[in-house]
Amino acid sequence: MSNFKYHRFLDVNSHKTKRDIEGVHMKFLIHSNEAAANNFQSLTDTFLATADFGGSDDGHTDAHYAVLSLLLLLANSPTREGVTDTQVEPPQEEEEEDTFDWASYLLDSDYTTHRGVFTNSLDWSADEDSDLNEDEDGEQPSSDLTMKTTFTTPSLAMVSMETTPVSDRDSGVVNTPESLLDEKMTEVSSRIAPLYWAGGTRRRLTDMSVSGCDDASSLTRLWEKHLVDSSVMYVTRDKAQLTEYQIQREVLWMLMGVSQSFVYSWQTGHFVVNRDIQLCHLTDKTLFNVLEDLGRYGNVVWKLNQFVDAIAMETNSSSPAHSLNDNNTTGEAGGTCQTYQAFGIAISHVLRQFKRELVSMEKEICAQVETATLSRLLSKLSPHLVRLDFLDIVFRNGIEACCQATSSNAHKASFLLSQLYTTLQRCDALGSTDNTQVSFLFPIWMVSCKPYLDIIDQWVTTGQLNDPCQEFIVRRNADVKLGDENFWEAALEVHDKSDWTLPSSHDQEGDGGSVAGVPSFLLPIMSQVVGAGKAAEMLQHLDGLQEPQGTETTGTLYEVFIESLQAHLGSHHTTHSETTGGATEPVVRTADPVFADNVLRQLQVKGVRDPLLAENFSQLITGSRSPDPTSRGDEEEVNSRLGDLDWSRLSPIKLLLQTCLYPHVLHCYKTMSDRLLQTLKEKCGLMEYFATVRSLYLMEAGDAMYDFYTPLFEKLRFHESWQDVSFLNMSLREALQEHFSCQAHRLFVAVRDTSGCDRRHKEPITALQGLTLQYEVPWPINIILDSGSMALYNEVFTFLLQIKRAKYSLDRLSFVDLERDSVLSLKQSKGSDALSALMSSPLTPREDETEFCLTHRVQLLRMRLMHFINNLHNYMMTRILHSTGLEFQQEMEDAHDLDLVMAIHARYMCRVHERCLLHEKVKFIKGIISQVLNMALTFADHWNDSIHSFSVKFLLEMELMLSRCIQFLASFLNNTIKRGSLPHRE
Amino acid sequence: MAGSNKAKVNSARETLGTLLEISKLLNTGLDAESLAICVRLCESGVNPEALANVIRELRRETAALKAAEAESDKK
Repeated sequence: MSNFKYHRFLDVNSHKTKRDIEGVHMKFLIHSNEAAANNFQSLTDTFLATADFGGSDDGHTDAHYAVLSLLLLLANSPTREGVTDTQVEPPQEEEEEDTFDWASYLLDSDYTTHRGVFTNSLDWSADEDSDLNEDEDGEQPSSDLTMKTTFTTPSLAMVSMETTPVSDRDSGVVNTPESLLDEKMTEVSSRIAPLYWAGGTRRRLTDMSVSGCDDASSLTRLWEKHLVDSSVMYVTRDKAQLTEYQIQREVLWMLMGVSQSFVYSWQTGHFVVNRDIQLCHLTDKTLFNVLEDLGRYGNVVWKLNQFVDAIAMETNSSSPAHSLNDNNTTGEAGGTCQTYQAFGIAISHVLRQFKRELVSMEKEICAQVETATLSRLLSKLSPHLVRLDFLDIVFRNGIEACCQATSSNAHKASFLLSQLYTTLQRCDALGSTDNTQVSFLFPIWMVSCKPYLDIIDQWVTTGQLNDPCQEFIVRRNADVKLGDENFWEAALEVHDKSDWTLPSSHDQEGDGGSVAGVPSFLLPIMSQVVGAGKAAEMLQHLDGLQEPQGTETTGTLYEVFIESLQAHLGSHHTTHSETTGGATEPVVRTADPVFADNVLRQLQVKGVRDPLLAENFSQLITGSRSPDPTSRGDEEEVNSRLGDLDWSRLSPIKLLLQTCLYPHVLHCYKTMSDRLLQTLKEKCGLMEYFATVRSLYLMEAGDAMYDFYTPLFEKLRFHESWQDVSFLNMSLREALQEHFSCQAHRLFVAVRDTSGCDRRHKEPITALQGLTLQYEVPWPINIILDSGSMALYNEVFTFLLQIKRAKYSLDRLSFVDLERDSVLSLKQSKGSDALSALMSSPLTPREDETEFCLTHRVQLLRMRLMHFINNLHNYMMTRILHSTGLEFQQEMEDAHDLDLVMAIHARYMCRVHERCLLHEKVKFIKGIISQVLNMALTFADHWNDSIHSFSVKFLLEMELMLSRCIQFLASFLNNTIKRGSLPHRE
Repeated sequence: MAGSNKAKVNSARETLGTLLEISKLLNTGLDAESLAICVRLCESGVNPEALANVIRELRRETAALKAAEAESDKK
């Protein structure tokens, strides 16, 4: 009253009143009550136009407006009244009364008139103008409902005894209680929601007229009525009437992973929407579609939860000590690969956040402070749902596709990582608009990569391929020991190759599947990784790893990767924390160490310095803060660091990797390769071995080799047996004693039996074919100088030996021999019939001249042969072997990596082999040269016999053949040189 | 004079009828008698807002009284 007494009221404002009238008119229209609107409009117009009111003769006076504004102020939910006043429905209701009896009869008193407690508060408040609703809110529902009761059918009185007690309260009519207990029950029941899950709100649609207090909220009823009217076959179903609040909460529960609820039932691995529910303002189909869509996400959540649970269970069972702080120990014996575990942890992190979000949403909904509708819930959920979609894609493509077949961990891991990376790239390809998705997926990918990167890191730094779950793309081949010369090629093998054929179909569709099983993000640097790994392993065994490494001081590869990510993207701690999903988490978590520090400081103040206690405290605190068994210390740190990243400066993922990940791997690779090469060169004397091989096999050390082959050639010259291995080894030892004493014990000569070979080998030049020089190259040099290359060296060696032999044979020929032989033969023939023959045919000047001529021709031929062979020898030894050797040496010095060294050596071998005419392509030249060499040997044999062994015909043949050969070689080589295809022969 | 008086009364009744209709539409809860009183009060210059407040206060008081009576009846 005091308010009324002392308050000064403003005079009536005609404009305001007019506006109010307009507003009410509009409201009637909005509530589809056109008749009332028109009625209202005409009535107010009439009234305002009325003259002689309030003592004046005009209309529109203050008195008019005063009366109208009074009425407007007293107005009490006019639109509600409108529904009942329009008098449109009563006839229909009369009709329905008939059906009602039938229904109650058929349903056997299961019928209830209750609409749910929430609807009551919703019906009015949703869109009523506050100007018109100045009544106390508390009065509102009851007055509404009293009005409603006036319209309830007479038979309701009968039913009301059987309905739930809630409806009693709602109807505002206090039933005459039969006992005190009943009343108490009524009171208790009035405060609880109806048990809709127990059929508390079950009703038949066509009987809903009682609840139709608002057109907007009776859409279902109207639609159902329309369906019933339009189709004879249409049968209405018995449905539970829910409110939107209830449905929203059920949806949230379902998304949290509750498998049994009223709205959703769990059937054969899927959430199935209960079809027997309805909202009063949505058609069945709409409701069903919305709920089914949400159910799909429920499936995803459920599936992911299952996965996380399975991983966690396996992890726990495999590590009895529950030492979850170390990723490497968790998977020690587990069948699940670490990548899956990491992925599971990342997912569980996401799911935890999602649940937290859901809980906060549910709280909001329970509070009922704001309007909460399904569509609003959908829009709130939509960013999370998009994320779930992405996770689902990754899960389906990356894990389920693999699980269908029995595949190895390596396959699973790389496939998962590839799929993650592909999805990430796809998000990234959408450009800056989709930054949030990238910022969501990237941390997951990072966490999932961690085990893989850790394996790589450990491998390239310590040389140990520690892969307990066999998930790395390659594995150490146990058959290949360190001392094996095939180590470099065969030490590593790809996990079951048969597996890789499996995902090909997904590769095509997914575009980014693993090529040959390598996770696609590692593809550009995989060879370097493997190289560095092998180098590290070799180094470890060569004691090259003892000195401290640069990478160890900077942390593991993963940490370095994150650090450079931070440097590249820039991190921020407070500004972005609301937008990035993971950023709220670290804030809480970073508080833990602070808290622990506080405890420690407190202890120190009291003079207690107990490291054990401190450790226990910190464990206790972190343990109490993170009850989830899957959370780990380093994971938290990583998450905090990942969450801090500023994604607004995100560049394309590939570029990001190129700037942040690859350089570290390459750096590691470079360090390892450099050190390996250094060790090989300095400790193992790689270059010395090359030099020895060149000087012995390629006969660069002319003096030593001369000592070796001279006795051999001498034996050959006198047709003695030379295949005595001990003799050959002896001469080799002696030859090497002077300059190669340290290598002498590694070298020995072997003789292969070539007697069974084809005709070509019967030629004199091929006598030495079976002779090979064996060089026992120690590990690790034999990785480069392997048996294959030694065989090639031996081929070259044999060829050079042939040239040397031909050259030697020709060199050893002396004129004395030729002449002595003629004298000798002359002497031999004395005193015999030969002498008489000689006497009978004295050396006429003519004959003498002929013989001199023959000798001269023989000598000429020898010179020609010597010229050819000397030139060939010089050419081989200097132009080819020496210059090629120089090139090789130059390249070797520039090489920075064992692979490259091997390639250079192989190229060098190939070049030498080809230039020594041993290659298939130039075999015909070799053939010609062999012919000449053969000729030289035959010639030398004849020479040694005597001049008489030469016949003119034989000489002519030889001359002809030699000139033909030379002619052929000259013309052929000229042509090729002109073509420029053999530059080294110029 | 009597005719004009009658006409006046008629028009006043009509006006009151119109107002009653409006009142019903707006669901003010006023019956014809109280509406007539209100109109008269407004005509004589009472502030409508104050009047509305008074009416609501009165309604609330009566409701409280009734509730109290009902309580005592129950007991």
